[in-house]
Amino acid sequence: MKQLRWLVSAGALFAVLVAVEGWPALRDLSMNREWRTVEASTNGASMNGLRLNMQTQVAAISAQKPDRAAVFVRLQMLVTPSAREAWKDCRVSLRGPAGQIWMPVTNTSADGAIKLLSPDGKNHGLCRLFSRGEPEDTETIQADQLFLLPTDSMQELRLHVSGIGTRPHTLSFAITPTVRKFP
Amino acid sequence: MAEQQSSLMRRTVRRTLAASGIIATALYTWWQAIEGARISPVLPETRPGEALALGRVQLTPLSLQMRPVQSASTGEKQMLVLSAKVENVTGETQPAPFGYPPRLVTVEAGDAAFGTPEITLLRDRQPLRQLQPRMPEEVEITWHAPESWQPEELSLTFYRQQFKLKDNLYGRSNWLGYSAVARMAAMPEPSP
Amino acid sequence: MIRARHILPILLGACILGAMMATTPGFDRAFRPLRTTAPSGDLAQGRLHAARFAGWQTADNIAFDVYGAPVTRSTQGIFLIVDVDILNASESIRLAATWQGRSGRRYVQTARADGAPGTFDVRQFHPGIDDKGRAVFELPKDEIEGGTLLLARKGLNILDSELALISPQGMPAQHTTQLRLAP
Repeated sequence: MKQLRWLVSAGALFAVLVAVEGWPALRDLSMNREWRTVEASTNGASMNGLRLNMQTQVAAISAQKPDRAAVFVRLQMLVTPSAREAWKDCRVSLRGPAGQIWMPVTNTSADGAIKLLSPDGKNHGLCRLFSRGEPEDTETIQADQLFLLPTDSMQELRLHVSGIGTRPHTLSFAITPTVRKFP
Repeated sequence: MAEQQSSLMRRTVRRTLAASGIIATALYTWWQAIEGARISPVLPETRPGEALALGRVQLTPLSLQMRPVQSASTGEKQMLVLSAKVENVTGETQPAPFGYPPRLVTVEAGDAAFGTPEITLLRDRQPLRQLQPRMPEEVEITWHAPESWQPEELSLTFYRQQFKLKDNLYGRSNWLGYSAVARMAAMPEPSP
Repeated sequence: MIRARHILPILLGACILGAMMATTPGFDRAFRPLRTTAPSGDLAQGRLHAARFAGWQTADNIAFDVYGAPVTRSTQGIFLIVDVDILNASESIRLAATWQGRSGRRYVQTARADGAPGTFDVRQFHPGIDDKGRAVFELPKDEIEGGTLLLARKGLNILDSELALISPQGMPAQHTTQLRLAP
């Protein structure tokens, strides 16, 4: 009986040790992965003080390469200093139904495509929520993202927007881009 | 009397045995101090054309020159240019400037501070970004000379970075600290 | 009196400890990329993408345009240009290519060819879109035959997958004096 008590206490302490050792690793992972999705409407959604809405969503298909589509998404955000602190950075990605993850295209060729597809012909750049040091006021910023997808994966797409401070929670918008065909 | 003496002998032997570790340490440290003072640390002198093994690379200094450089914003400035041949002697591509924090060559010229040099690949006339193994390249290591510095005899010190197959912390292979390996005293020639 | 039964446990313990110390994998062997090898022409499947050796050629000089200006690169060794098919990406990914020569030396893709069209430094590979990548290496001629192309995610890649594509037998059939890298 005494041995059993020792064994049980050893087992319990081992479990505690594993938890203590694994906790920082788990926390690091939860700051990177987007495990908890929060449904968001394209008209407006907010999380941790940041208000977002989707301004434009367009998919461009070129007749020369009809199997690829360039999806342009413009987000408009109302950023308060507290939201900036809460989010710390911004990551926008497209998720497919089979678990695919599309990140924004960062080549120089994306710039021309964004200017062509955006309603005002300008490229506002990727979503950035770093605090720039000096005291800021509430401002409205726009973020432009371009994704490259196969044309047959355009159903059931979801746009995930999250920051270091919000992960593992992420906002999830349903994407239904209007298709524009180019020669 | 004999009993007391032998027990004293035995006691002394036992105590010496117990303290032998500390005695050995003290003697060794003292001997190292004497050895260190006996062989005064002087860096070997090297001349242009001699290959130096500097850990990641093998460097052969070729010539030292002063080169004037015209700059629109700051007018004419002097640059100290060491042309050398470097060869990557490791088994992997090494990013320039070979180790962090970079310390390949430093300049000592009295009180003048020369700062960190830039390495330029002569083949492309562009900054050196990496060096491939078994591909020696001719490079120029340049320093901006401080304001109003007149060319005089200076000395270049070459550093070697130590590589350990199993370091003391994780048992992983790692590049560790730098140690000076050679010195070259030279007078920079005016560039033609 | 020292008997055998006193010494035996100590001796046995020392032997077991010695065996464990001798067979423990070092840090570098435990923390390294997980390699998947594929012979020439076969598909190698990694965690985030799959790759196949598509073709190779050598050149004495390479020429390409950087921001419209023509650039030529020469070398004392030889340039090896390897074409790779990248398929089955499950995430948008950036890759880095290394050539492991016959002697075991690793030649990272040369930074002197950065900005050339199609090279891995600017290319992003997206899910659902099968693409080609090109890696340019600068190495001595005798490191080409019997070498392996290693493809891994760009950046720190300690316990992630690494694809090893074994090159075909012999040397590349095509050799040009000056190869123009065109998009």
